[in-house]
Amino acid sequence: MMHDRFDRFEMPTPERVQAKDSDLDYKNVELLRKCVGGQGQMYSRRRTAFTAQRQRMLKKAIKRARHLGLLSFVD
Amino acid sequence: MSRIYEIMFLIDNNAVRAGWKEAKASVTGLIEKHGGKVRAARRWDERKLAYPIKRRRRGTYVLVYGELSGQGVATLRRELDLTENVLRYLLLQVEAVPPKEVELTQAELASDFRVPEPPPEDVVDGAADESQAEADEGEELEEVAVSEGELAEEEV
Repeated sequence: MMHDRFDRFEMPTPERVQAKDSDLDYKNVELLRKCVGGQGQMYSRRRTAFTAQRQRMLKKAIKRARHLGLLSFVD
Repeated sequence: MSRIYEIMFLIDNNAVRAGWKEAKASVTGLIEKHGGKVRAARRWDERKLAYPIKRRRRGTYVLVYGELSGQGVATLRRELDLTENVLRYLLLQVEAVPPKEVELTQAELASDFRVPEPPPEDVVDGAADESQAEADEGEELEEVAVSEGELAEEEV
C-alpha cells in the first residue's frame, strides 16, 4: 500500500468538491463558497481533495473574488 | 501589440440608477480613450457585496472584454484608480473572447432589454444603522406601554 502525507491522519468527513478546471474561476462564486469555511477561510487540500495545481487555481480564484467583494475575507 | 483582456468592473449603484447606458458607456468609453477596442460588454450581476466598499453595501458588476496595448493598460489602470464610480476592477489577460459573451452583449443591446432598478439597500452605513435602531427602540417602547396598560385594567 502506498503512503503519503495525506493518510497520516484519518480524514474527518472529507467534503470533496466536484469541479472541472475551467470552473475554478472568480465568477463562479457558488462553487468557491463550497471551498471556504463559515468565516471565509479557504479549505486545505486535505479538505477539498484537490491536486496541488487545482488548489493553486482555487487560491487565485478566491483571492480575485475577495478583491471584487464577491467573497468575504473574514466574516 | 495589443492583447485581449477581461475586465470586471464593480460600479456604484447610484451611477446605474442615473442610467444604465451611461454607466456602461463610462467604463467602455475609458477603454476606448486609452486606445482600446471593446469586443463585449454586459451587465454581469447586481448583488450584495460581501463587505462594504466605500460605504456601499450593494453594487453592479460589468464584464467587459477588449483589446488593449500594454501602454494602454497602464494608463487605463491609473485612470480607473481615480474614477469614483468604479469601486473595484479586475483586469486579466485572456486568450480569446468567449463567443457566449459576444452573444450576451448583443442580447443586451436589443431594445427590449431592461436593467432592473438596483434595490435601495445601499444607503450610507451610519445613517441606515441609526434610523433602523431608532425604529426598533420605538416599537419596543410601545409594546411595553401596551402590556402595562392591560395589567392596569386587570387590577381595576
